[in-house]
Amino acid sequence: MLTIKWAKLLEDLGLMIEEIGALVVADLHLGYEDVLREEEGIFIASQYPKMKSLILEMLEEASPDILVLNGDFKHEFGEASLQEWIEVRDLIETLVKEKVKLVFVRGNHDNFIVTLLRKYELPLIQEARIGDYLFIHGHRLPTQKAEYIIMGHEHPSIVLRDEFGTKFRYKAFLLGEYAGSELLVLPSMHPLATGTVINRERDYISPILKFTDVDSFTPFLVEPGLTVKQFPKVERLRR
Amino acid sequence: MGARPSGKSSGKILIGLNASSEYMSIQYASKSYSKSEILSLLHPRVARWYSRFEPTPPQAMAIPLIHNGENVLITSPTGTGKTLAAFMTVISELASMEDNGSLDDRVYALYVSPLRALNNDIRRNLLVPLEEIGLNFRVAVRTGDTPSSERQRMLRKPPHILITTPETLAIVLNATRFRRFLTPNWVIVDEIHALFENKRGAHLSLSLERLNRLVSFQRIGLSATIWPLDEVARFLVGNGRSCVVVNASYAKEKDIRVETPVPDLIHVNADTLNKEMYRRLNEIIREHRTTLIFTNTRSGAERVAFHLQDSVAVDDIGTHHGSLSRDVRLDVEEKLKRGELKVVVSSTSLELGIDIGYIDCVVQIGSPKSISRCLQRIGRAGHRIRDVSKGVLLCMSHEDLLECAVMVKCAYEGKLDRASHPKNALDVLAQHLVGMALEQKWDAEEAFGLVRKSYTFKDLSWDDFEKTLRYLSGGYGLEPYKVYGKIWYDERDRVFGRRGKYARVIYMLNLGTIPDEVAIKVYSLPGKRYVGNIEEEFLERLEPGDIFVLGGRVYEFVRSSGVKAYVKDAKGKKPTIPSWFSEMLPLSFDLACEIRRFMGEAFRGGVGLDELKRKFRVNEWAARSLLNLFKVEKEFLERHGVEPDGRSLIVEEFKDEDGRQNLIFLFLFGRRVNDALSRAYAWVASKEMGVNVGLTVTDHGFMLTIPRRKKVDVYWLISRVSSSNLKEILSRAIRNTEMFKRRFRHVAARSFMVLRNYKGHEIRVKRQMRNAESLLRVVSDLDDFPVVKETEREIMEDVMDVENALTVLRMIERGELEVTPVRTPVPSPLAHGIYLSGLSDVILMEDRLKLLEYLYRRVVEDADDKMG
Repeated sequence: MLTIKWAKLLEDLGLMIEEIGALVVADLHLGYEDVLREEEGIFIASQYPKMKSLILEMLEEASPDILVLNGDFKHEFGEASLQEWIEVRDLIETLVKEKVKLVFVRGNHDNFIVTLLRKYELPLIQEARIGDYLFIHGHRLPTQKAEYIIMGHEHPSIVLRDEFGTKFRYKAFLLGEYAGSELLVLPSMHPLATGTVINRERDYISPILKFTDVDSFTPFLVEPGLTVKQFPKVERLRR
Repeated sequence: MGARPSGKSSGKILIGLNASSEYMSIQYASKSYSKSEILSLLHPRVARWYSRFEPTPPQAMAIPLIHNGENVLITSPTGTGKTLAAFMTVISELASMEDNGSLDDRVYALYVSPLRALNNDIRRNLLVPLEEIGLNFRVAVRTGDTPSSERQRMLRKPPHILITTPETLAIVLNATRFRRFLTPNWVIVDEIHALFENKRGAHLSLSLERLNRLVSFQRIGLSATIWPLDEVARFLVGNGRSCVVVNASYAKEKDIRVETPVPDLIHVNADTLNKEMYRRLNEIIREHRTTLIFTNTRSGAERVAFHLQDSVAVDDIGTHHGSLSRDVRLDVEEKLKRGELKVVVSSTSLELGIDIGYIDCVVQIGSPKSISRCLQRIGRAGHRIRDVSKGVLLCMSHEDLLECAVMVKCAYEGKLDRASHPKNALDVLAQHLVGMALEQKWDAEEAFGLVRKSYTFKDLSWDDFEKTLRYLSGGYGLEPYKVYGKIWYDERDRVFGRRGKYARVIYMLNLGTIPDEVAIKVYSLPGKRYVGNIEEEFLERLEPGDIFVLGGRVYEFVRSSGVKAYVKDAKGKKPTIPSWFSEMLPLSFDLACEIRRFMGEAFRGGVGLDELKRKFRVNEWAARSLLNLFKVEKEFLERHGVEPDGRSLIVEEFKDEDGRQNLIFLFLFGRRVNDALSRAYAWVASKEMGVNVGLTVTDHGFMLTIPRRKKVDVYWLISRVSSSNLKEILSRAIRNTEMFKRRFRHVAARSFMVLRNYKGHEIRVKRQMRNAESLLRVVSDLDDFPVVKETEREIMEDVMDVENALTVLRMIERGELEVTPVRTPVPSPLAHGIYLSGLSDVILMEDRLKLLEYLYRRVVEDADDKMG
């Protein structure tokens, strides 16, 4: 893990904020493999078991009071598929058993889980404010101000090349600023969900990133399970 | 190396020496029957028709054997009447049946060929004699292009003779309504040399075993020059069955010459060489009626055809290769048949036998890389059996010259290089298991037995077989969602069957072993001149400014748009990224050893001008160039204090202008062995130095590029790779290469893990590609995942030649070969070819932490370069 001023960036792709005792993960996209199958003809096992065990491990190690699921918990897929329902229910039931307060922030893919969450009396909210920290998914601009804003949605990654032009793609945390607040963008937890290559593209999906200078952001590259490493600012990584 | 075999007279079947359950008897025919003997075997009307011909050697040897019910493999050059040899018995028997009214509505003879165009030709070739004899059987062609109206007709009136491709056969096996007509007495496999060495052949062999389960049939194989014939015969008939080999390879005379278009190939500049090549080509074209020119690449064929327009009328030129549309290719074939073309330029497709009419000279530009291929190509010349096959090998580099001279000498001595075939290909197995599951419920052990009857699967382990079943049924993580399996498999009862409504569609629309590649056309700016093709996968890696090699030339990538890429000429600049798409055919190890033997002799002063011209059939200029080459090499060795005795394996060490250490191993062992050795050394260097290592591999050697001012000692490097640890090193080394990712994608497609057509709609290759790397990472965690295992096997066994790499290492260990490092300021003339050929691959560091560190330092330290 790597410690920044106000948080710990975990190599299992989570974020730990000690001050409020919150562990944050984003963009699980449960059910994504169905899309891979239907739209891309790729047959691959669900990554849910892996993500589930990583979350449980992080909960065990960090012992937070709160677990924030920062959007796109599931991958909306037309009529929700069998896989989605099994996994979504399983994860909610598992998390409910953990001694931690659950906060579900609504992502743009999270359309049918309201009823399921209601069964456990869990609200699905657009923005979650805990102390100085504002948790949003990132597909809309925030309506509140806070010292620290934490978002997902963009699935940031960084591409680097070696001497021979080989491309390496890494998931990354991004730390920067937005309208006077510190902004942290979380990587997606899902191993196969593609996202934005921050140091190659300029057309970001999130409106928030459109309104700020991403080139001045600091990326923290993740080697899953092994390490998080700070790199120079995004502008230094452009070609 | 194979030499001309001695024949035994064919007679009754002898039980082979191996008395186990796997008895296999392969015999060689040498008896040639007389015309009257043959005629006496045939139906009277058929005999009367055939009597106008003189039996060709394959016909004289094979017809009585086939008549006798033997499985037969016939090998002879094109245009020697193999096909008719195969069909005479069929026609004769069917004629008898027609006479006594016992001709049913079913397929009696199945003819399989890898090339679609050929199939229409065969049909025509059959219909003519049938008409002339006055017979009424039905002959039909069924391929991917056959319209459904035709297929409907076949259900109503099944053909007696069905002509098809390996892929379509696999489909027809699962065509529930047509399948019951598929009860052949004879199965004829043509162009078997083009199937033996690849997965297409493995796929066909399983189709034949599936067919054989319900009906026994006689197998007849037709092949151009190939060796070893035993293996090919066993491949044809399967395990435990016997076969007679009819070897008529020497039926046609040949006149092959090795030339170079300039007086001194070693000291000539590229432009002059190019100009003189066209001068010589034009000379040959003028002297002959129709010339067939082979290049080794499609872009080469395009380029040559284009430049020939300067001197030959454009309507007289035809271009033929796999990237052209079927219509264009058919058009060229038709024109050739009518004698309307003066010259045809082809890469490889015309290598497959098509009755294309009159060609009186074949020119091969550059080296054909194997003796068999050389003979197959030259054999296209000379239409009738009595004509001499005339060919010119036009050499454009010293590597070409060495290869061609020795190759031709071997060809005249009757030596051939050894062909090998893929064994236990799990992706091919997966396809057929789905096909089998679609037919019925299976006892897994029975299915296992069936699969093992195929010669290419005879050593398949039960473990691998079961793992493949498990994978197809949705194992390896898909357990809770078994609904996504294509078959179900009950491990306790060992039974499997079909599952899901899409299994059939998946099988029918995704069958096949040839990987889906979208060709990106590359144009050079300004002017948008077409310069060649690259794969979409390669394009994904490119970024503006990248410099790479294409068709022997260097270009800088500018931009791309859809299926077009734009580059600009970058002559003189060094490539910055690997060109691993340019996988040319490899020089065989056997031939490489012959070349090394030849060079050893030359150093000992043993080869003179006259001998070169006579034994190696080289022209004056080529002979002088060769002598010059030996002189240059000898001087180079002596200057560095090395004894020129053919024992030394030179490793040139020099620092390039980026300060990187480059090690050029002048290992003349052929690409397949070099692919293995180079990666082993590169991996060791990578591990020790903590860097990624650049790799350049050719038939004549390989180069390691060590970045970041690190250096590795050659003696140390050599000591780290031995015959006892090579396999272990390689199985780790190959995992971290671009080659692995690429092959994984192909194997994944063949294994139905990544489909090109799902539920009826096409999936663009681009989308398949997107996740290849992350897919690989995800499945690499799984134990023994068949798709990963097969990728490894394919690379270790089919791409690389590990066995002969071990042979080389043992020779080094025994002192028969001595590795000699030599420091040079620039690559020597001998190493030049390797140095300029462009990177082939990169060995990546295994340690992911170190890799991240390395990339970080690269960004931070090279602050002035555009990084990232």
